[in-house]
Amino acid sequence: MEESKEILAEGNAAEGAASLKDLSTFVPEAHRKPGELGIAAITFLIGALGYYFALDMTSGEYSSPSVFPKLASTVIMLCSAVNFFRAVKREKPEATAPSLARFLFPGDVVVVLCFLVVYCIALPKLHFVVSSFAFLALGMIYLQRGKHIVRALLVSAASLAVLVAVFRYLFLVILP
Amino acid sequence: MAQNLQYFLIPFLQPEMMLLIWVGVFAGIWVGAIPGLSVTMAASLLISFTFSWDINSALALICGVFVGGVYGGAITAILINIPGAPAAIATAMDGYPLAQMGEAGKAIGLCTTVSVFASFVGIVVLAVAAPVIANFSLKFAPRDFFLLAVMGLLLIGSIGGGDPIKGITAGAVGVLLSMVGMDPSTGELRYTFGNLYLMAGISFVTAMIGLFGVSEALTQFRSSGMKSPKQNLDRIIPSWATFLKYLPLSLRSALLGVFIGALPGTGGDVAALLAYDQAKRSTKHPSRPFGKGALEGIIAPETANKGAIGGAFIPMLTLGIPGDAVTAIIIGALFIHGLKPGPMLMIETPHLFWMIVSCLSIASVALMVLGLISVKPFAKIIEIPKEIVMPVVIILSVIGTYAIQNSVVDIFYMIGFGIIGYFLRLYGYATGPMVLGLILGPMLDANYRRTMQGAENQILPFLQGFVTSPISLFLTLSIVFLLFSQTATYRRWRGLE
Amino acid sequence: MRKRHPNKYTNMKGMRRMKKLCVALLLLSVMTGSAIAAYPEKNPQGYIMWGAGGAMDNVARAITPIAQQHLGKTIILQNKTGATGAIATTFVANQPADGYSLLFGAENPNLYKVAGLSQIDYDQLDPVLLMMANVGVVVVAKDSPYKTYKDFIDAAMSGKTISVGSTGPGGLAFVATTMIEKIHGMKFNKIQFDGEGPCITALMGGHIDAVAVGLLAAANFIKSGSVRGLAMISTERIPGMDVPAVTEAYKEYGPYLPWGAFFGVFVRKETPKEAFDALQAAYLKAYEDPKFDEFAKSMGGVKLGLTGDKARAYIKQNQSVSAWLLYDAGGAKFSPADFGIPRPQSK
Repeated sequence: MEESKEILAEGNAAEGAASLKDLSTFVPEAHRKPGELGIAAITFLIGALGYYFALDMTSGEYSSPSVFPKLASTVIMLCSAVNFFRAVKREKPEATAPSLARFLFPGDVVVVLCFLVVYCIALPKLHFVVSSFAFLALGMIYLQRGKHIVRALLVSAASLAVLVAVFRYLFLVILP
Repeated sequence: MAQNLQYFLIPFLQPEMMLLIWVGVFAGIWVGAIPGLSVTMAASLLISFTFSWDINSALALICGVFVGGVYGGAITAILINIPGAPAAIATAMDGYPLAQMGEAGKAIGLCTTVSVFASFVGIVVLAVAAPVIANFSLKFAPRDFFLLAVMGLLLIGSIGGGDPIKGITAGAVGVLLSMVGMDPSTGELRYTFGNLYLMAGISFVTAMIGLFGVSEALTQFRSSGMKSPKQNLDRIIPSWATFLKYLPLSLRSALLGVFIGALPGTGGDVAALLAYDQAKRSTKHPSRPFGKGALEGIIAPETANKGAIGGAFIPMLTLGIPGDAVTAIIIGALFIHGLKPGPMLMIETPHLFWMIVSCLSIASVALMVLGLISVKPFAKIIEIPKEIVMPVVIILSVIGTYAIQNSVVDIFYMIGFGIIGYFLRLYGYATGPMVLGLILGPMLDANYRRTMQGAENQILPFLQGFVTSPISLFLTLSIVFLLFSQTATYRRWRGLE
Repeated sequence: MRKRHPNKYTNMKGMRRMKKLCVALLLLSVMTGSAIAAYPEKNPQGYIMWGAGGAMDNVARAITPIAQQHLGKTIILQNKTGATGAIATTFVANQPADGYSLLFGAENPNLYKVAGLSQIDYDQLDPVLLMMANVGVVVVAKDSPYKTYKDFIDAAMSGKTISVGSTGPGGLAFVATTMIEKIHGMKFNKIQFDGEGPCITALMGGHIDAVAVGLLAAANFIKSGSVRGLAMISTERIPGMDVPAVTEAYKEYGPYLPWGAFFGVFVRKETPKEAFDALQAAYLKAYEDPKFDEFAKSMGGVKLGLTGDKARAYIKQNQSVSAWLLYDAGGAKFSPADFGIPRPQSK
C-alpha cells in the first residue's frame, strides 16, 4: 500500500488533493470536498427529472418503453440520496481546502475551457482547419507560458496537416 | 484433410494476399487506435473500396484490418487514457496507470503478446469446433442476453475504483442517457423534447471520447507543471516466465471472449468487460491492485476481445449469422461478390472457411511483429510534454467524433461530455461506469422487453424462464454468485481479506 | 506639402477603387465558378436507413461502387439506422437539396404517417431509381410442427399463443403479420428484434415460432434447409423457390397483393435537374451492369429498375396497400384518409 502510494506521488506532483488517489480500494475521506453536497443534489435532480419525463411515455405493460427509464431514474435517485447523506455525515471541507470556484476551476482549466468554448463557437464559422490551428497554437503557447512559440506553431501546423490528410483523403471524412 | 490444408495454404501461395494482410493489420492498428474511427466503419469503407477486387484479396485485407483494429484500441487506451474502441475501455483502467508509472512499453509489449496468443486461441476454436458452438449459441434467448448485460453491469460498481455507490450513480445516468432517442421497438420518442438531434440518440462513442479523452485532458491541466513520466523501455517483450505465469488467465479470458464473440450480435466490447470483471474477482494476488496498474487488468480484456474475433466468425461461417458488427459487414461483402453466406457457404465454397482461418492466422503473426516493432515509438509518445500532447489529443477527439456521423453537433456533445466527465472525476465519480451504462443500456432494455413480450407481459412466466432454461439458470446463478462474492462473508471464506 | 495631399488623396481613392474592382472580380469568378462547375463537385454522401449486413445495406453497397464509377466521384456510404429508417429519412430531408445527400431507402417510409412515427416520408423525396423488390415469406424453424401454412393458421386459430418476430412498427414483418391477423381474425404475440437477421437467428434458436421476412434475407436459409418456408406472400410462386404462394392455401389474400418491400435511391424533391439526371444516369448504368445482375440473382431479389413517374406510381400503390391494410387491421395510429392516401385500386 505504502509503496504504491509512493510511486503515485513520484509520478504525479499533485497540488490539489482531488483526483489523484489510490484507486484500488475505497477509503472514505474524512472531509467533504467543496461542492460535494451540490453534486449529489444535482444527480438527484437528474434522476427526478428522468422519472418525471418518463411518465409521459407509454406505460401499462411490463414491457413498455417507460420501464427502463423509470428504473434507471429510481436507481439514480436512491444512490444520490445515499451519496448525499454520506457526504453530510462527513465534516465540512478542511480549512485549507480551496473555495468552490477555485476547486472547480483552477487556473489552467479555466483557460482551456474558455478556449474550448470559443472553439465551439468558431468551428461552424471559420471551419475546421482554421479553428483547430488556432486552438492548437494558442493552447500550446499558453500552456508553455509563452516559451517555444515557434515550436508550438510548427507542431500545430504539422500535426494538423497529418490529421487532415489522413482523415480527408484516406478515410474520406469531409471535415466541417 | 489434405483438401483443407490446400485451402489453408492459399494466402501463402498468393503474394498479393499476403501483402494485403500485412497492410491491413498495419492500417487496422491505426484505425483502431484513433478514437472515433472504428473497425466497423473501416470495414464498411473497405467493402465499397474492394468492390471490383477478387473476393480472396478483399477478404485478406478485411481480416487484416479486423485483427489490427481490435488491437489498436488498446494503444491509445494505455497511452492517453482514451480507448480507441469500446473494447479497450477495460484496458484503459489498468493500462493507463501503468503508462503513468513509466511502464508503457511493458504494458504494450505484454498486451501484444497475449493478444496474439488469444487470437490464435480463437482461430483454433473456430477451426475445430465451429458448428457445435454455433448451434449452441443459437440457443441463447433474449433473456440470456439480458442476463449477460446484467453481468456487464455488475462491473460498474467496481471499475475505476472509488466509491461503488458513486459508480452505480454514474452508471445509472449512463443507462438513462442511452434511452434518449427513438425507441427502436415502438418508434416512440423518449427524452427528445422535439429536438431532431436528440431523436438520433446519444452515440456512446461520442460520450466515450468525451468522458475519457477531453475530461482526461482537463483533469491533467489541474496539476500544471507535471513532467511526463519517463518511460522504462528495457524489457518490452515479456519473458517466458511472465507469459507462462499469466497463461491460465489468458486462456480463460480468451475462451470467454471466443464464446461471447460467437453469440450473435455481441462482440469484443462485452467480452472484454466480462473478462475484466472475471479476472478481478478471481485473481487472489494481482501484481498490483486492480485499477492501479495490474497486469491482469490488461491481459484479461485484451485476450477476450481477440478471442472474440475468431468467435465472431463462428456463426458467420457456419450459419450465415453475424457474430458481431464487422462480420455482419463481411457477410454483406460476400453477397456483393456473388457468394451465398449461410449454411450452404461451407458446402458450396469450402475453401472460404480455411482461407479465412489462414488469413486470420497470418494477421495474428503480423500483429506480433508490427505490434512489437511499434512499442518503442508508441511509448515515446508519452514522453512528449503534456502541454503539446493534450491539445493535439483534444483536436484528435474532435476529428474522431466528427468521423462517426459527420455531425458537428456530435462535437459539441463530445466536449460537453468531456466537461461533465471532468466535474464527475473531481468528486470521485468514475467515468467508466457512465460509458458502460451507455453501452449496456440498450442491450438491457431491448432484451428485457423481448423477454417480457415472450412471457406475454406476465410476471410469473417471466420469472419462471430464468430457472427453467438451463442457460438462463446457469447465468442467473453466476450473477448471484458474483454478487455474493462481493460480500464480506465470502471474502473471509476465500481468505481474500 | 501641397503636392502630397493630392497624391495621397488620389492614391486612397485609387486604392479604394482597386479594392472594389478586386471584390467584384472575386464575386464574379465565384459565381461563374459555381455555375460552370458541374455536379458532382464533391463527394455525395449516401445514408442507408438500415443496418450493416442487412438486405438494404447489401443492395446499396452492391450498386453504389458501380454507380460511382459512372458518376465520377466516390459516394461515401454510411448506415444511419433507427426507428425503422425514420432517422435517416428525416435527416436527408433536412439536408440541402443539392444532390449531395442520398437516401438508400426501403418501403418503410410509406407507413410513417399512419404509424405516427414521423411526418416526413417519400412525399418530400424523389426516387432516383427503384432497384429491387422484396417479397415477403412466412418461415418457421426447420423442426417446427407446422409443415404447411394451413397447419400454422389452424394452430393459431385454435387459441394457441404463437409468437412471431417483428422488426418494429412499419417493418415488413409487422405489416405482413397484421395482414395475416386481419384476414384470419386472430392475434399473434409479437416480439420485436433489431432487424430481419436477428429475427431469423431467434427463429433458428427456437425463441419465436414464426416470422414473416423479406425473401432476400431468408432465401439462403430456406434453400439450405435451416428454416422452412410456409408461404410466399404473393399470388404466384417465385422461380427457384420451392415455397407455395399464400393464395394457394387461402384465396382471401388476393385483394391485398401484390405487395412487398422495395429498395431505392432517393434525393430531396427540390434537387436541381442537373444533379438528379447525373445521379439517375449513373445508377441506371450500374443497374444494368452484369455484376449487379449476378448479385441480384444470388440474393433472390426481383429486379425493378423503375424511374420517374413509374417509380412514383409504384411507391404510391405500395403505400395505399400498406397503409389501409394496417389501418383496417387496427395497427395504425392514424387513418390514411387523414393524409390523402387513396384506397388501393382493386385489380
